[in-house]
Amino acid sequence: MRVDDLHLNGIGCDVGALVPVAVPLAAGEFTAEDADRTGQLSTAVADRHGPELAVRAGREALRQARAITGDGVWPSLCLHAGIYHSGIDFWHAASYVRDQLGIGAGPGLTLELGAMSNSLVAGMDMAVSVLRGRPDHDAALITAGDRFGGTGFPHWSTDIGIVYGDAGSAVVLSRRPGIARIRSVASFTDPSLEGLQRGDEPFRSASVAAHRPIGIRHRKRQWLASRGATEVLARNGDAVSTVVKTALADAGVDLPDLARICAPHYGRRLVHSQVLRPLGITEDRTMTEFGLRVGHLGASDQVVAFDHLLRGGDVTDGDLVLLLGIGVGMTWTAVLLEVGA
Amino acid sequence: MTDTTLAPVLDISREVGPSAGTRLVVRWDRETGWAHLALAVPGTGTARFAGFHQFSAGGADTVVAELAAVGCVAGVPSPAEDGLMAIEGVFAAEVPDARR
Repeated sequence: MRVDDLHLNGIGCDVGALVPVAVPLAAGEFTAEDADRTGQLSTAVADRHGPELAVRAGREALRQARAITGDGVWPSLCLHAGIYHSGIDFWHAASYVRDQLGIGAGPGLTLELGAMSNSLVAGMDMAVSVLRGRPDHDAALITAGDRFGGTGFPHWSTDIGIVYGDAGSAVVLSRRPGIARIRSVASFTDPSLEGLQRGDEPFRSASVAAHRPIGIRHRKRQWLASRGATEVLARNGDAVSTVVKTALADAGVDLPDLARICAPHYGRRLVHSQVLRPLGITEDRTMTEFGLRVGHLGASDQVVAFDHLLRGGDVTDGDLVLLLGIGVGMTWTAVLLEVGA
Repeated sequence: MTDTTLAPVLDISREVGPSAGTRLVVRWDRETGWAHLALAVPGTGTARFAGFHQFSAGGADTVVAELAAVGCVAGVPSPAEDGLMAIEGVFAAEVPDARR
């Protein structure tokens, strides 16, 4: 869907310090083979929980939005995501984030997004739809925050080809000009790949994560043993191509027009098979190198990478940046941004 | 003056750089020079994330020199967790916005 009247007014991040790969290698938490496969150089490790990281990111995003727009931005739509345990059972982290940010009571909804690693980018698709269809909504705040680690989710060894990092991120969207204009959004869903993350896992009455690692590697191997990797590659490739081409076509631009693509921070081998090959692009068009420093930050990869581009002056007014979200389940979302505008 | 690309990274507000008295907390990897930055503005609570920066080298003298180049007077570096190094500095004056 082409979008011309919505903007990103604020962006905030809170990312952990970068623990070099030598540390888990020395501790036996990561193998030389994994290091070769992923190319991971370090990962972000934070000492705050996911919702706390999201609050800190949200505070910065709101501060920027208010400074840039020059008036009081009050997000009537607050969306929040965390892909792992928030730190408290049976609880509404989104309301905590909203309350801690001082947004308080008022019309509109405060919801948690459940698109796993695609949650924040998918949330931008949702927020765009709400803001374009509901004139009574002035602005939307989308936050994400995750801290991995501990018994249940070791950063370095939980998944195949992916090292996880801790971060919070946030964006504010409204109709006022700001940091970037949203040019288009596109999403795609293929639930036939849901089992890739489930394997043969039975339903349980409580999480096992307090006592042992959640075993994503094992589950993936179970599913892949019966279905094969080819199906994942084909379906993911089709979906990535579909959302990216749709978003670009709707905005009237093409891949060479993009200054950078902010995609999920997988390890190098997965980035090549899941993102670069389907799009026919080289690594330097993406934030892969940065991802190999910070790790896969749950739903925050794309916003943290875009923030890094902005901070370093690596993109300037007029540059086009594509945020590509991919979430297990699976869903895919592409959001095309034009810096400044 | 030491060359550095640190100034735009620290322009976190995209309006003005850190003001006098703002504290900069740096944790970096000696091998690569990659650093995690956090800024603490007096009277605003804990330090907030201020981006990542790769120093031109990982040695403490290089880090101190690049901090000095953006007006940040650094203290003494010390070992931190996970094999990282840490250093804190204070800005003596507002940092010029390198993008203007």
